[in-house]
Amino acid sequence: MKKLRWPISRGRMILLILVAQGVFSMVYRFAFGLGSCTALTDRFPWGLWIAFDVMAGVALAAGGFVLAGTYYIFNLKQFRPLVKPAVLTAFLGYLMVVFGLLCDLGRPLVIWHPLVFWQEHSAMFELSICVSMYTTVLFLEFSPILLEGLGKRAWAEKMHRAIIPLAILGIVLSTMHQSSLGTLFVLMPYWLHHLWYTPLLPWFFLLTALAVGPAMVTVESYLCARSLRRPFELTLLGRLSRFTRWVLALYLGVRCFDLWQRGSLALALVPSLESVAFYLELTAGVIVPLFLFFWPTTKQNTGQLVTANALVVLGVILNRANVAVTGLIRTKGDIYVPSLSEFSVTIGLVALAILGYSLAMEYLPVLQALPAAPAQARAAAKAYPWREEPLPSRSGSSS
Amino acid sequence: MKLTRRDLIKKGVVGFLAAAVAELAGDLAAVEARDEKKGADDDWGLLIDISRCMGCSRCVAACSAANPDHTGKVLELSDIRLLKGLSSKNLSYVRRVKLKRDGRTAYSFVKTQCLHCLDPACVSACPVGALRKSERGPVTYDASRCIGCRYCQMACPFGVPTYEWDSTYPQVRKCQLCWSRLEQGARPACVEACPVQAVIFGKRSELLAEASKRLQSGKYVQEIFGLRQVGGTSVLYLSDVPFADLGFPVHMGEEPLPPLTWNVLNKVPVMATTVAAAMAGVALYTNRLHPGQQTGADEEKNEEERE
Ligand code: SF4
Ligand code: SF4
Repeated sequence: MKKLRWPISRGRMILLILVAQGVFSMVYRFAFGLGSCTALTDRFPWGLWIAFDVMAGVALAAGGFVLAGTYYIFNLKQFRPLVKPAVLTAFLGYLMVVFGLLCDLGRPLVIWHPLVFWQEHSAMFELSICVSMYTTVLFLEFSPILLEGLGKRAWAEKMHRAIIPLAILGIVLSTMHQSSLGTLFVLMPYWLHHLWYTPLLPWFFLLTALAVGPAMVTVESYLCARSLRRPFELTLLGRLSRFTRWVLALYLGVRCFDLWQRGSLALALVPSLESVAFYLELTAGVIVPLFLFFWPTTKQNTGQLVTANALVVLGVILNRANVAVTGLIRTKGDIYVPSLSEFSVTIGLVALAILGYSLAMEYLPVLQALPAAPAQARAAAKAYPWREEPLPSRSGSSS
Repeated sequence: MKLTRRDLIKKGVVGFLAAAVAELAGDLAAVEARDEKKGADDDWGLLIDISRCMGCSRCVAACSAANPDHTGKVLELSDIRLLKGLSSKNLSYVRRVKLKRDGRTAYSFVKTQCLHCLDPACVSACPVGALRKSERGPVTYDASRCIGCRYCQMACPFGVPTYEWDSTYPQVRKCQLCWSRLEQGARPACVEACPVQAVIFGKRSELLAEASKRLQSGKYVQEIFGLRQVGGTSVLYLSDVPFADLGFPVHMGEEPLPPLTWNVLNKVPVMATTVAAAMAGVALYTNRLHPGQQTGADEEKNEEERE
């Protein structure tokens, strides 16, 4: 393993400061209680930390199981360069989810209680079991990379032998808990607005997770390619988007059919906060990206491809926010706007994940060796990994 | 090498199936236990007669005295006048509703607290069994189990459970029908405090009989709120004013809520098994399909060795 460089780059300095302010808010929250610094009330007991850190976080980390499945189970070898980064992101994402949850739970010290007091009638129980098991699985899937980085090659190989059962386990657990995040809201027919409420919510959560996992991998690959001055894997990610677009199309179809069949479509025609949020979510997050994905040139155009995928990411974040907050505003007769401290913790956690990602990229064998990269560019990339200018010689990275 | 891997896969699959089957068996047992649950006739409950309530809030004061907040504070009548709803400091509340009746302004008072649903959403939501439907009806809370996820607050269709937002080791708070008093043979504090018997305590069957008797006199709207809403509640309401005008959630159906989740969750074992089997099948297939070729894992390892 390489020695840590010192002094650290400016980008990492900024990330560290963001992490530090998040830690400060977290300490404040634990010292003075949830009421002291959050906007949570009895009407809105779930806020930003559940809607974004947990619900969106879990969905955005779905790339880990999707790509592990594509590569290890379906044996589509071409996707190999994407697997390790995806598993790494998923692992960091779930760590963020767990930290977010620790911060949000009223009694974080007994977070392990669901493991001993089984309540199979509770979606929250299923969720906590699956998330804790899957975080462990992700750690095991990630461990060969870590072990190799630490120079324990023999151990890494031993771990690697279990990768197929691990990948299967990961897929099973992910299917279960991605959907049970939706199941949580199936219990609230009288609270959640019927533009979102449907018994099919678990399926919708699963489908959107399947779509947003690869989309997130694409967005990350792009950011990573820019900051590390590596070529953007346009062909490969274009192929990946062929999978995403069919999942997304299926989702749109079933979503509309379900609304129509349940007689809720009329709700979308009444001008209201909910219908605006609904259109925004569906247009920006599903219809426009679908249009882009099916547009013939998108596969060869970095700008279009990344835009489409970024919109899918945005759409899923909006969807989770709508289900957890917007869809409840009318029935609760109250409004919830996250407090500064809530934002501060969330920003801190995201910064921590990015920092972890960038450190892992540099010090662990996550990315494949780049045979074609000019030595000079690689040296420059190492010296200033967070500098943003596109590399003149590698045209694939900007549109 | 190949053999070991295949063995591993097989072991993994067998392990999965075994675990899934065990889980399924457990779940089926739970379903049976649920079906066997006795009827609600013997459940303790309250009958609240809105036509009798004069809004003095003495029940709220008694409730507060019996259930002080975590700082030990008991609310005085002067504090109670300032309340705007349920909170962790007052587990009950008397809501004042201004109405126009026969051209004149009149007030109705609605005593509000947990309705002790017969099939409570909050209980099915709780991941650790901190909330329970006790044998005799009251829905009780065990703080020592609670992890503070607040799903119960999200789930309760009546918005009853509240949280101690001002505490660093908070509890969920809700009316527990004074079950510790009940165990000593006393009645709930609010019932004992009411000067006009607007709230009476009893078994659900007795309360329903009393309610039907009162409905005979012409002064009530012909409905018992809580008889069937969300599967029925142990707290029942009678009113001389339509419930809709009082802001009751009259749109609620008769179906209890917990089966909504259970209909999804009871498919989990089958789903998990199917997904596991399908993935294992695909993995074995891609392994066998091209015997000369290597699996993703193989190739990766070889490449690592080459490096
Ligand atoms: S009214 Fe709410 S808190 Fe009370 S038992 Fe029913 S679901 Fe639970
Ligand atoms: S907050 Fe406590 S009582 Fe409520 S659902 Fe969560 S663990 Fe159960």
